[in-house]
Amino acid sequence: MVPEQTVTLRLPSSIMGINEVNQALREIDLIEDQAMQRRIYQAEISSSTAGVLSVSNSLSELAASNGLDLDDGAMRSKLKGILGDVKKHAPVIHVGLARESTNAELMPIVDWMRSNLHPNTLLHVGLQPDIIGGCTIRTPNRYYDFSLKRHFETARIALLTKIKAL
Amino acid sequence: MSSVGLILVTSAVVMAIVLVIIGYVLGSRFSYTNKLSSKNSKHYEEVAEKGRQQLEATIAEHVTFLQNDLRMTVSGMNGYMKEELGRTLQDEMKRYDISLAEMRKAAAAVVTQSQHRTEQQYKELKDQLAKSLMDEKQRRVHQLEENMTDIVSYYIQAAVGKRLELREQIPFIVADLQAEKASIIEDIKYGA
Repeated sequence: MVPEQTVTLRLPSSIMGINEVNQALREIDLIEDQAMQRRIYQAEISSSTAGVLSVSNSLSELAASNGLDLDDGAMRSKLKGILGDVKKHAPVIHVGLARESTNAELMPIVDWMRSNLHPNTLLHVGLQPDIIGGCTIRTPNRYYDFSLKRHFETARIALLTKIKAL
Repeated sequence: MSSVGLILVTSAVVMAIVLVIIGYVLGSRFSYTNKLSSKNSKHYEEVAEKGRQQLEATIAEHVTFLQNDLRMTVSGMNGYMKEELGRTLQDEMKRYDISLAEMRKAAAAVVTQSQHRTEQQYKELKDQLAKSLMDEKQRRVHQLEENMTDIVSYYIQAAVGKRLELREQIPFIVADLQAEKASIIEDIKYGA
């Protein structure tokens, strides 16, 4: 059972699965380290480089979509905590695809899941070349086959009828 | 053949009787002549001469008779033999014809039987072949049924697998997800 989170987080489409969440957490830690270093060596750091932090697009989108400022230590800490909760409790749905796909191709599926199933749904994408097309979905206890192969199975009787008529 | 034997035996008996008569006549003549020799040798010689002439005439007569008899016998035997041989030949030919007809009939029966058997074997072979073909067809159809999905999947994957863009499939996937939405939500909420 998925517990209700106290703070809701809007995940951008670029953060699709656990890997991206982990990457975001590592980035936050890195930013935290950089901030600490900046505080320690404040006198030596020139004012021109003070606000520059290397942040990935996905983390930037995450911060922007949730109205969080990554320069703010408290917000970073809050974001880290929320991301930790997401990592622990967000529903992970396994998606099997016939071939490798880009994040851009998967975005419509992620968006649909986050708007219809759960806002923090995470995807775990695997390869299943034998399904030809479509996809398979595996939730914690169920398996859904939306593949072309399954459609062929369904249409098998019609094909057999045609073949037998030859 | 018994008639031929009878004729030969009869001829032999006749000749034997003739020879006995000749011997007897000659014997009596010679004994009579000896008795008179002492009285009249001249007369004896005349008588002897007459006797010799008579004997020669008798012998010539009987030789002629025997020759005629033999000629007739031979002629009769030839006719008889010809008749017998002809009849025998005809009998043998009839028997041969009957045997030939029986053999022809038997051969025809064998040919008919063989033809019938061949036709039966042909029919059996044809039925067997038809059954084998039907079985093979059923087996292949069954095999096709069993592996239909794999075959079609393999074919489509080989034909258009790389051309199936995920972007184009999204509407169908979303439609399938929409259809199972309630079930998925239920599993996410109350699942593990």
